[in-house]
Amino acid sequence: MRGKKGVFYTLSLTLFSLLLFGIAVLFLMSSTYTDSRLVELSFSERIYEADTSIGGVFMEAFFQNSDTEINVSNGSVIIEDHLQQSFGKTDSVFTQLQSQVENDFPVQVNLNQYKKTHGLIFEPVNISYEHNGSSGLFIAPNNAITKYSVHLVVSQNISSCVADLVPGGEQDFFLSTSGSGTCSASGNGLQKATVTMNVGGTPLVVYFEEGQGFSIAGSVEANTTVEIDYTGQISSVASPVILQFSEPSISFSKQDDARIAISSVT
Amino acid sequence: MKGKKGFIFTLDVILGMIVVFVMVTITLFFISRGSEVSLGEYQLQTIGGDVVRVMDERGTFDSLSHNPIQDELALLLPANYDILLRIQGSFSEGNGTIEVGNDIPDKRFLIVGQRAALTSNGTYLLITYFVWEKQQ
Repeated sequence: MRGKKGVFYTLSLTLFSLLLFGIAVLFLMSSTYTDSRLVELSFSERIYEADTSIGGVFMEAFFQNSDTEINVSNGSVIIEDHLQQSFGKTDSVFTQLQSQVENDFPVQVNLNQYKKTHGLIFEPVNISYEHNGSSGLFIAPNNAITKYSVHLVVSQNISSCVADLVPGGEQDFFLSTSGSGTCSASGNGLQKATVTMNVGGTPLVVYFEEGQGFSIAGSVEANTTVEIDYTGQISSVASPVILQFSEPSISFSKQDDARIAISSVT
Repeated sequence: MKGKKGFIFTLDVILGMIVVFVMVTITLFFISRGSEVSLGEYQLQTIGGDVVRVMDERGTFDSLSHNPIQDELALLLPANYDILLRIQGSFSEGNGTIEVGNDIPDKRFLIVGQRAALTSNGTYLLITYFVWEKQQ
């Protein structure tokens, strides 16, 4: 009986030891896992800081150096712009910033798309506002847009104004001008609208069609105010400046637009 | 015979205790190693980033001078943390480098982070922040 007790004691101690050892191994595995998650979290926090701050730098530089101004309120965004705008200064500042941030952060900055469009993207509804060279504006088709309201200030005489409004759609359209001569057009629930003006001998076309988007085209000196009514929420505005972060050692790669919170620019 | 049994029993207990002691030691060693990076240390990073972001959004860096930045820093930084900001860029003050905050202590764990910023007159800044917990 005593021998059995001894075996029982020894077995109990061995099992207790194995239990402790098992707990220790679990602790070690758990802490190793936690360590690696925290290292990843810390790394992603660094990338987040770099991404948001670099995006903010480009967007602030855009608004400091271009003639484009935005004002976003609940359900409406107003973009004040200039048709014959030169983006030479903005491009030069962006190229300099590209070199500086690539030197300071693990990021590659791609300005190709930005230089093509000098555009703005209102997120998360993705309303895309682009400059077509120095002679026009384009807003890509977007189901969130319910109304385009455009005001043009032209310095030359408007000698003709022809409006062709096609009903049968869902978007509203409103156009007015000021300066020399007037041209106006408006309609609710339109499928398509084309307004052709002759400004100082140069044609200027304001066009919108469901599924095709909105555009202003013409080599005319004009200040534009485009008010877009939309459904949903706009929380940030981005530029198609592509920020590419990568860390091969942990197979990390992230691509993003340069963006800034609306609260920081309006 | 009884004396031998007692001896073997004692030896068994001693050996058993040694095994248990070794296991307890190994367990404590593994547990004490624990997580080498704690959530508190990760918190240092978010505090540093948040403080610099708020200062940037408030335009604190536009002045590019020591005192306004120091005042804002004192307002924003939680009481049990310390920070050193190194602001670098193409500006005349301090030959392009301003340091605001406390000196980095020896042998303390600290977190380093970086943010880019642009002043209202278009000066690009690289802001490096060092954050650590104050010694209680």
